[in-house]
Amino acid sequence: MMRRVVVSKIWTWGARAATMVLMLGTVGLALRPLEAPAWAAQVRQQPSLQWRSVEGAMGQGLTLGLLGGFRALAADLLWLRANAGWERCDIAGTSAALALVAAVDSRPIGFWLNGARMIGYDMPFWRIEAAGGEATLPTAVVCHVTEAQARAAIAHLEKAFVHHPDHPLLHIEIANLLLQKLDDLPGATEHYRLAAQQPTAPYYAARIYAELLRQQGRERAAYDWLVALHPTLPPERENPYAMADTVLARIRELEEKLALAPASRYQPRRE
Amino acid sequence: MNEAQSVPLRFSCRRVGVLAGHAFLEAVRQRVFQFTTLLTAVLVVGSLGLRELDFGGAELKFIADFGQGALVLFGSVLTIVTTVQLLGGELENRTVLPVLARPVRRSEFICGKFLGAWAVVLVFCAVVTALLLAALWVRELSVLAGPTEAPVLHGGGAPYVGVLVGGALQAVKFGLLTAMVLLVGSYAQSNLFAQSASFLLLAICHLQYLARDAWQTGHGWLERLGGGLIGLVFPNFQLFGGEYLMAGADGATLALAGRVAAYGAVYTAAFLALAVWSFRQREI
Repeated sequence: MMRRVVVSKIWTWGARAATMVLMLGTVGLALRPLEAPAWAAQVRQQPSLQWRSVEGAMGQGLTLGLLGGFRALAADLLWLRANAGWERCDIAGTSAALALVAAVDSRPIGFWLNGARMIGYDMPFWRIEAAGGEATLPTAVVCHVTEAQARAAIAHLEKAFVHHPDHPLLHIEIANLLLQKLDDLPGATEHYRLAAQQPTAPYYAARIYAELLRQQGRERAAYDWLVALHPTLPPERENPYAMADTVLARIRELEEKLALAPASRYQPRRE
Repeated sequence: MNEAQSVPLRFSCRRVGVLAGHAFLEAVRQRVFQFTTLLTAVLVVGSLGLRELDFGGAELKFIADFGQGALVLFGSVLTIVTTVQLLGGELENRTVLPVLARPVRRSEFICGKFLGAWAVVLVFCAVVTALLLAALWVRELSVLAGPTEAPVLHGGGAPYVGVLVGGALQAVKFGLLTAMVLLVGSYAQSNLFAQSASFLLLAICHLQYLARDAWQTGHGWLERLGGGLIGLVFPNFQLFGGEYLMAGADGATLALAGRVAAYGAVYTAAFLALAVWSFRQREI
């Protein structure tokens, strides 16, 4: 009798649970055409959390933070961990923390830029010091380490383009690495051009692009670029960052160098 | 059997309204509502001072993210605890008996509890979103004053529309969570079990997309079957995140938010129907 009651109860509960699963499964299936495109569009615009990358490194606090929606705060705390590794000159710890930060929150551009600076400018110094210092190592080894880290930093920044397509600051950072660590002037020039063409680019990107053109002996191209740029700049008294007067002074310098006839010289509307 | 008993009781929206009103007043008086609202408000206002902790992003975005995080975390806690207390408290204290002894259908009782609990969460969402908008406005005044380094700033000003639509999506999600908690509470024998199971459900729903991934790319048939089952049965709470709205709310993103809201509404109706059905089977 007792057994029959237990079996009956289990059967009732089982049937009830199965009915619920069946109904919710049907609803889930029916809502699939609504969910799938919404999820795909959302992932395109906002990268989903890379759980597989972070699950091994998470404590309870971080899990709670991520599930609770404090993604920005969790990433900031991980950034502190990366900085703690940076203070100890710990290449493995800093690299792991940087990867975690990118996996938890890839949206802030500052993480990518500063992470690349650690990889490209600081880590080669640590590696060289750990191997005995620049004075004791052959120049080829020092160059190899410097180049390898610069390329690693550029690779780190290129990953960011997935989340921030054509962000001018990423192009500028790559250009600086190419210029300062890899002596690649044409490559740096191209990245400054790409940066300067973005509407959100800082004003200095366009000025540096012209300067790099000039350094390569392409004065005419630099002049044409600055002449096209100057009318788009706000007056210096309105926005000193735009440095419209400096741009005009460089135009005048290039006109002298190119020996342009007075009639064909640039005449600004606001002069 | 007299004539009155033989006539089946019809579903009454008026009775649902009365029950919802009582549930709302009861929930508002609970300390959990006052505590979570106060704590979230302090966190949102405090995010103005926490900006020193922002290392990677634009300051206004950090404040918006932090405020949304507080809304999501404490809103979830408020939804689960309030709903469990509203339903489980009545069941444990047996105060449900005099209510159901009156001409009240069980479906009206559950719908009343749902509307009452959701109304409390809606008030919470409105208060927190309004505070967040005010905090963003205060910071925007000082951040965007003066000349800028670029002709067009990345991210521009504060994401007011994004915060507003994000708050609305969270309100829809909390409605769905309320219905899910009612389903758990309709068969749970204790409040502790109902709360634990509800928090577990919340975690599962936030990680549902991983089950979907396992369904599509899993290695073994067991992984694919399990992933598919979880992916179909549980709603995807990550859809309601709305972080993409912070980058700017154009027509496409608002249409996306509308789709997500419709998704949440259908799931809410399904969970509510199951809660009613389950509660009708329950022996009280």
